[in-house]
Amino acid sequence: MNRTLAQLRMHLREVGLSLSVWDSQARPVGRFQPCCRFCQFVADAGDLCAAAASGLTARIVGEGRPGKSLTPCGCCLVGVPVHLRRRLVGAVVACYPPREISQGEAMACLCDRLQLDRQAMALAATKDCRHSQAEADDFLRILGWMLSREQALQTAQEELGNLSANLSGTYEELNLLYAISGAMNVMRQPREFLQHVCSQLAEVISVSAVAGVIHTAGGQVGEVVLVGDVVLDPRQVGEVVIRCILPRVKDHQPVLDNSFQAQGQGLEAVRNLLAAPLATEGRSIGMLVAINKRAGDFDSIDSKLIGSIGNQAAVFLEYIRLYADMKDLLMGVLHALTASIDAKDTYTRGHSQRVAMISKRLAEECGLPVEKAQRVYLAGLLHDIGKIGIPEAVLRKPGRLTSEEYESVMLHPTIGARILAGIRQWEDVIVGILTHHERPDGKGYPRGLKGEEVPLEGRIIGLADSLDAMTTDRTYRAALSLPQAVEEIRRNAGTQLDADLVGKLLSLDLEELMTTLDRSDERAGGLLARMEDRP
Amino acid sequence: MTGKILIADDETHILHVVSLKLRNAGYEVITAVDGEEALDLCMIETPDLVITDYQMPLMSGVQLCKCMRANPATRDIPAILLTAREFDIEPEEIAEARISAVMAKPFAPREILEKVQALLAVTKPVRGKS
Repeated sequence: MNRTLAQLRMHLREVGLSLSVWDSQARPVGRFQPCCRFCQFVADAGDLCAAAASGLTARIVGEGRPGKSLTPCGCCLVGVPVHLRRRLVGAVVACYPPREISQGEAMACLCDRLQLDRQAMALAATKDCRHSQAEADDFLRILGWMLSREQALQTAQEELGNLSANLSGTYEELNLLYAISGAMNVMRQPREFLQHVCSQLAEVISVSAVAGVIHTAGGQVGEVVLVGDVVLDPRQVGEVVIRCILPRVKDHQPVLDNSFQAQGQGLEAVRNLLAAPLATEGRSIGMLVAINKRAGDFDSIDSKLIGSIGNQAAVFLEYIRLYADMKDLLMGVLHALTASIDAKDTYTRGHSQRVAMISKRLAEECGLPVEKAQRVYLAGLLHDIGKIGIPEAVLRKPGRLTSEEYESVMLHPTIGARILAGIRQWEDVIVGILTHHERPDGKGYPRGLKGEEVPLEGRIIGLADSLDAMTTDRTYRAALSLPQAVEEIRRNAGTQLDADLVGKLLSLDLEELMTTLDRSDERAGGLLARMEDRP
Repeated sequence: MTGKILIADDETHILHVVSLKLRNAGYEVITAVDGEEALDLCMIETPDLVITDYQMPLMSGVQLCKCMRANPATRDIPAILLTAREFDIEPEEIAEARISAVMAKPFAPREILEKVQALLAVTKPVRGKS
């Protein structure tokens, strides 16, 4: 309203009218400004103009319609009522000194009464007189139109402002949803993802802090992420959320508390909160909690937004967990499977695991990407799986094998490749298994490939297999020392073993590599021991 | 679709959005920006349905509905309440004001249209007979 009147006042001043604002009790709103120099003088002397305008206002408010009158010195007053939400809240009164004023009887009398110089006053007043008394009716009408136009304009501007603010807020929310689904594409760590969600949310719904709390299957606080500028202990937030807020969830809906009572829980800094459950298929994994809304209370608009983000985040976090579970399960099964192969021969206990680790290390040294190195690890782990088809009597036989026995051992890469042939996702893994006994000089098996014909996976696993065979006891000889093994490997470079790879292997810190392998043996030991204990 | 619907909300963007959806569906729409204006329009226009915000200047949406119930001309007009603070309103109040549906903000204009169609399908024939 103030802006409307200020605009009105500015426009009227340009055409020589002075506007004053009056409340419904005919009291001036702001300081009363007389319209001409003469009036200013008179006003100083006795506020006569103001009194006249106040009188006119009282009449306008009383009758509820526009009105006009004259001030004691002969200035014209035109006023219209002002409504706010259809209630009469006062009036605006425009005042101007008409041309007739300088000759007027009223002014002469007033000058005498106030002991002013008539001529000087008349001259001063004349300079400001641009309109005649007869124009008062027109001004009255124009004032009415201007007021309603200005009010309508002001309302429209306010609406536009609100609309824009609302649109901007909606864009922010939409963008938040985009940002979160975008994050799902690039983030694989639950904590990193939760951190991202919390900081985005804190900005969009304008709160002091956002916490992401994940609990364990046993209902203990697991991961806590806290973003924002409220001084809170993340662990404590996690405890309170899991113990006090999570049990308040009904029908998977967010918990909204606009008058949070800390009750000695150490969260005195929390004034209000909005907590969305993180749950998939009815199974809770944690909560997403917005703390201390910057302006006012949380409402259903915040609640729907955080609820939706909680749902999205929960599905994704669950997906990460399931993916990790599946991977663990697969690796567990593979380790068990290969350990059972190794167990056919007491001398090769832990061999597959060690070859897998050395192979992976070599793959990394060759500059292969992480994903590819992981495939080489798998191929290393499974390289001897074909031995499942070879009699234990042959595998465990001390001393030399007959040529028939040796031929049956030579079948194991082919058997292994055949066992896994049906697994579409492992085509590259199978290549490594099939070719790990090929040699650069073409004297290997099963196909006698030469040099570069032997796939890299096969060459890597072949070298890893040799290193492990040399450094562990075998039926036919005791383990070589590391320097002896290095010497042996160097001797076979270019014939049995790939020369480039040998160079890469020998550049590694082999002592450290052996220590790592020993540690993995200790871990695998438990599993093997359990298997061997079986009758 | 025919029918006259009064929408009352001091947030003009809600008025614009809901009006547009209902007008496009063929309804006649009148609007008010506060509870008192809404009640006045109710008396003058006797709409077939009222959609009102909860928190409004001069008179809340619940008060508006209670006032409507007190006047024979507007007693049976069905009402939909829009609110961002559903948790602040007692269910008894909703029942007393005979509010047919409460919709939490933000809502899709489509949801409002569906609700209006459902309510008018039920109430229109009854009002026609009386």
